Amino acid sequence: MTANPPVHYIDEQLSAYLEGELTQQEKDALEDHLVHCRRCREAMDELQRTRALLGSLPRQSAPSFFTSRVQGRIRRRSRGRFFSDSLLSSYRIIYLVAPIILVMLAALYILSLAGSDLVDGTTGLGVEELRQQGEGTGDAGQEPVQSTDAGEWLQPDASDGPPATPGGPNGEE
Amino acid sequence: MTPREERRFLKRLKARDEEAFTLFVELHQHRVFNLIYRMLGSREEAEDLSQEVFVTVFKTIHTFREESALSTWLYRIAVNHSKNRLKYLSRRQAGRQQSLEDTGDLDLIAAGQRSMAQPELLAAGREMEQLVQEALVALDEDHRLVILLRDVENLSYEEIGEVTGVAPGTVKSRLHRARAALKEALKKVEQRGKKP
Repeated sequence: MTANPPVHYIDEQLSAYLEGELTQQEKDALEDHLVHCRRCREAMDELQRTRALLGSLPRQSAPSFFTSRVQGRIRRRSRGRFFSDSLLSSYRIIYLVAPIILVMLAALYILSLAGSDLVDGTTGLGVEELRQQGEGTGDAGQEPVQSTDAGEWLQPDASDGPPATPGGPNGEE
Repeated sequence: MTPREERRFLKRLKARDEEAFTLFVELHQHRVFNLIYRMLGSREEAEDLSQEVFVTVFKTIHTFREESALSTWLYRIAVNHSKNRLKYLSRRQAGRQQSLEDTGDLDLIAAGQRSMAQPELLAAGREMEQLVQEALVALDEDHRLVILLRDVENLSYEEIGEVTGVAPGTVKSRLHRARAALKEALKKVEQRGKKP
């Protein structure tokens, strides 16, 4: 840009002004010019408006399930090496297994309470004690809870090579 | 994220840590999608291509040499994919476009470009967005890109230079030319919109 102001400024120069790229001298000259030149003022207004419109464009969001779709593509292309859909390799298993375990524990607790309330009137022994006497076993009715299995399921699959961490919150496809 | 955290995060990404990658996608998906959508003008294309961008990141993260910010590298991948897709789409439309150009009817050409953006933008109350998108699509690809990176994504000249592979000085002059071109394109689409 020359020190002498042009007859009319072009958009590129006006844009440079908006970006603060002109020297103080150039800036003063342009501002003086704008006071007197309606055409350049209108050009400047249009340029500012264009920039404002761009700035106000709404940001478009990626669609729902975007992450899981990306994971799905990687899974397919890596032939299941990454982002395996197996329930066992995902934290989602916690949400599936935990309620089942809770229900089982609650049921066992209720059963044990009910069992202790049932006392034989003639002997004064509880049902459990009677059963132990009759069968000679100490663990009747007490099925072991397979709680450790869930812990094993959460372990990463060593055959995956790199650490196979869970697929994340958007696990659904 | 502090630089130390970022380094640790990058290390996890390079180790193909799925959890880290998932977080990365969730952090950047909207930005990538928005840029590609504005470049292509089609939501469907943008959805497909944005997914490809992240697949490329996952596949090639080990080649990232950390000479620029990770986000800049991501933009570069998004830009390269967009350019390739635009080339593909223009080849696909070439026959139809050529016949329109032969007639010299610019309005018809613009109408063809507009059709790319129309389905998603015709909703009531979004006329201005539609006009701006039309004007953007009408721009030369490099002009559109520099405007989006600067005026929509707010990247610096240096960052735009790293993304596009041109010198910051060139970015600057290209941006000013692009804004002038957009101003004119917008004027045209607005005038066309006023026609009965």
